[in-house]
Amino acid sequence: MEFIKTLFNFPQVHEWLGQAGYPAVYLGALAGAVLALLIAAVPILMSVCLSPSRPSAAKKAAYECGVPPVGTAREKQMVRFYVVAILFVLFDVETAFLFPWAVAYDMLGLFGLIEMGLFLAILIFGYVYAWKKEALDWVY
Amino acid sequence: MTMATALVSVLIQALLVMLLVLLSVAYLTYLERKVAGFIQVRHGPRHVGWKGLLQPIADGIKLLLKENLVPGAADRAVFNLAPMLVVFTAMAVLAVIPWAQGYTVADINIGLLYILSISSLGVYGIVLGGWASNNKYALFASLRSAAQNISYEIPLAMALIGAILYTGTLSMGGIVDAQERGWLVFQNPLHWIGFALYAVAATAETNRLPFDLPEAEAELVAGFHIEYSSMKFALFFMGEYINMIVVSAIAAVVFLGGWRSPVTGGFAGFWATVWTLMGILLWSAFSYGLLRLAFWKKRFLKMSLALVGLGSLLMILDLAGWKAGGGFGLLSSGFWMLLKVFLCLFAMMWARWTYPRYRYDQLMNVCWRILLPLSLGYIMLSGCFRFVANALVGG
Repeated sequence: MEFIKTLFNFPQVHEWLGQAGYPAVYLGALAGAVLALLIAAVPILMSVCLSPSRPSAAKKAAYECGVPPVGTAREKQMVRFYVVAILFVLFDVETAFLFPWAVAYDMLGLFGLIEMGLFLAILIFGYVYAWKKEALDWVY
Repeated sequence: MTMATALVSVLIQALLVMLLVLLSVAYLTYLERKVAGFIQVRHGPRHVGWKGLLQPIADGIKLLLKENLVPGAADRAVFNLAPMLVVFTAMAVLAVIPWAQGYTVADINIGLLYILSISSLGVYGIVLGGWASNNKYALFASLRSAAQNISYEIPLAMALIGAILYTGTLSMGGIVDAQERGWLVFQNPLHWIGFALYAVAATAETNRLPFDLPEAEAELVAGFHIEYSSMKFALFFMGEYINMIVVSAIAAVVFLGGWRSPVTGGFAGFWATVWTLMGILLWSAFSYGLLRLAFWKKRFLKMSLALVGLGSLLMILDLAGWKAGGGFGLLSSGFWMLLKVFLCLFAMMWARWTYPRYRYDQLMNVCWRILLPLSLGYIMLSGCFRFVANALVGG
């Protein structure tokens, strides 16, 4: 009985976890991830067990609005997608730099502001270059 | 208390949160159809159960009992894995969101970064699902979706960075604590830009109309999940709705003060009072709008009166509690957090049934040519404002 009371005293559990320090706080995130995996897997298993399975050639064909499918989908793709991916990598690395800067901003003072101003200026220069080179144009 | 006890307790908490979210996902689909019905002047579901309230359950059972089709040309393992990946990434981040004061499953100090990093993995589910289907529509849709999701991730993250400058922490609980002088959108009109940027980027991240190019019915039939049926289709659907809840919760926590009621100011100093008055004004305007709607459409009357009444009561209690130096309690803080999440979700549905879809090049242009420079500017302005404020007030 006492044990169950402890289990459901959520604030007390969190206080204890907070005192236990660094890895213990992440227990909840771990529990969430494990349960999320279960919740993702169980419905599929249930549906495999419960649903009928009567496949036929017509059912297994790729859907192309009712006409018989032509070829496979393993084809060449437009190169624009790769350009977008490269641009994304550039700017995403930049956001990775910005997060710690933003958190520590009050401690950095004027130095932080000027430093990030320079960093962003260089980045914006690259951004303008990409714009002028028509890397952002979707249709030529 | 031992580590094992704590682990079991934490598991129970995570399970509670996830089951509640699953239930609300079921009823979000119901709400979506009801909202669509209201906007298009029809009824929506109303035959299964009282006012159609059992409709989501009937849908769930139907999807569970449908045949599990896998196309012959598909990559079986990846095809089955993709929907699980979408639900996993959407579900795993629920653990770090504060649903009420002190009620977070894991208030880790990198909470916001954790949410962004895990939920951006969700695009893998969409790309792998579309590629593994071996269907041309699905492949096109998944490539579009990948380009869209990674593009809009940048303004999304930057809008949050501009806000983080003001809170000084990434912990979700800490962000709410840092807004004790008022919600972030009330602290500085600058954050209206941030909130608007976040709202647009988040709508695009969750693949909702006007940005629902990945599943554009009119051109790609159903997009990346065209070959999916039965429970795997349902999992994609679930993933989308859980992601909506997650982005709404982030909006509520970062910009709208989390579980703080509209009047929760510090009551110290001139500006705190102004923010409190603004909160009261906001709540009055919201109540007025809701009641106007309710008196126009009589079927919302009871619900609206209950909502406005409960909110006003809790607000007065909050005010009294704050004056007395007390906390906010589970009921009050939970009510405000859930109300904010609900309003964000409702706004997303409203937008879905109001605006037409973008064309793909327009979508990319909005992101790379408008949102990106705006979000860079927002970060710099936010930094300058913060610096000047620190210099004037002295930290």
